[in-house]
Amino acid sequence: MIVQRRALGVDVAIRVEDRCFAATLDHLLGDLGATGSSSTSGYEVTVSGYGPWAVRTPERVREALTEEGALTHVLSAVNLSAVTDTPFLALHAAVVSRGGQSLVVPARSGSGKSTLTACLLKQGWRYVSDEALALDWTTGELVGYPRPLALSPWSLAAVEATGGIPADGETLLRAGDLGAGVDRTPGPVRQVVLLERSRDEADTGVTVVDRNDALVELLSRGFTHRHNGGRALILLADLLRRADVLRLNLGHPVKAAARLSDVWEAG
Amino acid sequence: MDAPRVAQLSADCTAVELDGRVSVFNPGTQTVHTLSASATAVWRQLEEPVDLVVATQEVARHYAVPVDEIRADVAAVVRTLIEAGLVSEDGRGTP
Repeated sequence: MIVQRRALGVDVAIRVEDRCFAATLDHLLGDLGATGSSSTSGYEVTVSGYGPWAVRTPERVREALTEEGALTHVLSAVNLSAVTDTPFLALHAAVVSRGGQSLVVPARSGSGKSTLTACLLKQGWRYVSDEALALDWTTGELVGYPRPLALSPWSLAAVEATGGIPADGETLLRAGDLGAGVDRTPGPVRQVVLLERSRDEADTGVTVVDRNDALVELLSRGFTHRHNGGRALILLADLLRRADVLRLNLGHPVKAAARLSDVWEAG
Repeated sequence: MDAPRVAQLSADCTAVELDGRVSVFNPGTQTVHTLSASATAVWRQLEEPVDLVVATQEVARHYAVPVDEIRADVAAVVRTLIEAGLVSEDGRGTP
């Protein structure tokens, strides 16, 4: 069975021997778009075996003793291909939308942005991505990348999410598992939120900051900005001129998400 | 080190302005430099090739301070911009 998806403009074909494993992948990647009509080339992953599994990519072969491990290998490979081979300007950030406008949270892995994203989705936001802010190099329009969210046990409890599919110490969730819709063609960015970790769970202070802080943060989180650094600078400056830039103390993620929702509604 | 006499922005750099400060991308080093407010004031004087004596006078007028007070600072900013590859120089001397 072949699971085909388009991830950040990259056509991905995952050939899977185990039909049950294929069905799981097909479900988990369901929020990504379909492949293009002429998708003869692209990124190929092959998963062979019924346990143990071998996950073969153009770069390497990885063995997994458990289905959870194989799932992690496949999703990691697909994500790596998406963010490196994408034809878009892609930067490491979470993106959600509401009312036709978008909110962007640039941050590194482990910063709490996926947990914050999950909380925002539970509060009525639509899911764009927990991984990449992607912009068309020509028009600057946003492109969605709604890959599955991976939440740790702590995050899952904090978000009060149920369901999902376990994978190597995390639980994989689609937006629908959190009661949210998906936005593959999000509108313009209205707010950019820089995260500041806070030890005080009740601290969800929000302050307005200089747009240059966001420019530096976004560029430091770039996946593909080096393909055309000058154009990336212009696109991001255009985006930031039209956006408010805030710094959020990230205490408890549920409270932080509620604070962001309040600020958005008040704006 | 002598300060350059005439300087101008490097043609291959890309600059944007946000909240009154300029950020410049240098394709040679693949780095972005976000300038301070005072460096931005100097930068604005360099959009055309300019004698640094004139540039220093313009910056002094902008901040309403005596030229002598900022001459060294302007020269230092220009040297920094040149070292970062954001500005090129023509001729050498003291502004």
